[in-house]
Amino acid sequence: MQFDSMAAFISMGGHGRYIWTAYGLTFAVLAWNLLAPWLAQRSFLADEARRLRREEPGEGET
Amino acid sequence: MQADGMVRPSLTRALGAQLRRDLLLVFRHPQDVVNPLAFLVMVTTLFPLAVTPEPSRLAEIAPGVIWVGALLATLLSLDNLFRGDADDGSLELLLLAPHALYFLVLGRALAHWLTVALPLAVCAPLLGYLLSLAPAAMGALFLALLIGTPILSLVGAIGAALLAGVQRGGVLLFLLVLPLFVPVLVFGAGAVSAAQQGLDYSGQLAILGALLALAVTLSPFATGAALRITLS
Amino acid sequence: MWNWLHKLGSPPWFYRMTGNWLPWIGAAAALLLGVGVTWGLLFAPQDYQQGHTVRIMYIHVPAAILAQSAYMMLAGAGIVVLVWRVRLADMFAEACAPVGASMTLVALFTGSIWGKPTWGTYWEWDARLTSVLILLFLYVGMIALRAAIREAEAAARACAILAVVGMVNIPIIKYSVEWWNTLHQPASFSVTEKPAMPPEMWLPLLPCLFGLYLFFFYVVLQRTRTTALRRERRKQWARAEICRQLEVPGAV
Repeated sequence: MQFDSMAAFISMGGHGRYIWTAYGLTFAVLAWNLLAPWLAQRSFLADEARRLRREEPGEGET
Repeated sequence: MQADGMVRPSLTRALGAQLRRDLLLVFRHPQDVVNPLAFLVMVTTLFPLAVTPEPSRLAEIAPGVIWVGALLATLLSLDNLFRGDADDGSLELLLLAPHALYFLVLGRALAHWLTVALPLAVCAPLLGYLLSLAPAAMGALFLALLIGTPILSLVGAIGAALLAGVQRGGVLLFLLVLPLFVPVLVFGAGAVSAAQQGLDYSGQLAILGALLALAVTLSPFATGAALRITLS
Repeated sequence: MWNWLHKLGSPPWFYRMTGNWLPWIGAAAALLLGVGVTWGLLFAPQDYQQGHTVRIMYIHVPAAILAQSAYMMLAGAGIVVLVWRVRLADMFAEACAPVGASMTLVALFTGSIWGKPTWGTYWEWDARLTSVLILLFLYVGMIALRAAIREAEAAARACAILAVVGMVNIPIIKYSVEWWNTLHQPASFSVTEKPAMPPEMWLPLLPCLFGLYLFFFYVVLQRTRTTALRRERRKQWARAEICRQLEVPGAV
């Protein structure tokens, strides 16, 4: 391991704020990339549920 | 008269007719020529006001300012390249014509260049003078714009064709096409800057020429395909 | 063989297959990224010039590579749309654009942050960063075009054309930006062009890069699945799938 202590790890030789901001931003973007499609899928299913409730009962054809 | 009884004019006559029509349209709407020019002059005037009227510094930014102004002016006028025809149905006729869409599109871009971009290139040295551009660079400015502006017309036509069916085209055309103009800008403005420093600029012009050759060969295919999509 | 290719373009088949693969892709991505980032942050050596800031490379370089790869994939899918009219390819392309754009943003941000302690400034008009910025503009244009055209078939082919035109232009743009850069910065210090990096330094890049690729596919395939469901929702297979998912709300 390149670091002696947790404090040394966080400070990264004085460059801590650059490195952690960079990694933080990256993970935020990756998290958004995971979240956005999941939310889109959920909202699509909710729309479909509404549509099916409107259209399906009593309707036999496409 | 052909075997199937159809009368098919030659390609040259078709292109001539199209060119005549486009020129006539511009003649009847002179604002299509004057507006982009006025825009270029006004934009050029903004820079001394915004930056500094000091000649040496103006001369330094002059190539870039004129080139960007010409780019924006061309883009503004491209927006309507196909939209009017898409709206009134002439676009369908263009696609139904017995001639290859490739050449008709090329003819349309040529008309646009002749009526819009060429005047910009001609007026550019005057604007260069306003911005204290070195006299040695005037020739380079005119030549670079002469070779570069057809590329703008041709590549911009692709964007115009893609958006001909979209009513709120506007800024979207800029977004689509500006990244594609970067090489023309880099070499075009680079040529003028080099000339201003007394360096040889034939290399830049040669590359512009190569880009023009590429644009003439390839872009009408994309424009034609885009037109077909607009009408689908 | 044509049979297999045909299946490849079939949305229900795609949906079923990705349903099986995705958990594995996701797990592998998480594993590789976890290993790569831990390795890069904790075990890789620091650079004798840049100190620990070189660790930003482990996210910057993969993001930049992916940003460009994603556009190539987008263009490839566009060709498939134009030549073979496979609608699934367009769904894939639609999913690629925002994810690719976000990778470009990561590359720009991390590149910029890396620049501050290294060059002393948050932005440097060097060839790499400038090219990536223009790539971002290409993505923005693509997303904007898709949003502007309402009809799905027309939007698919328009975006495909734009992608192909963009792909042809990218080498030209890169060359022109590099030429422009050499003119104005004769002695530029480019952070990624350094004397041979020791393996201890570049090895962690590999799991990070592959992990990010797998992450990219995971996200893009998820988006493509939802798009496929949405566009085909009137069809039998989609209706069956939707009903199945609505019955068991937690299943995605």
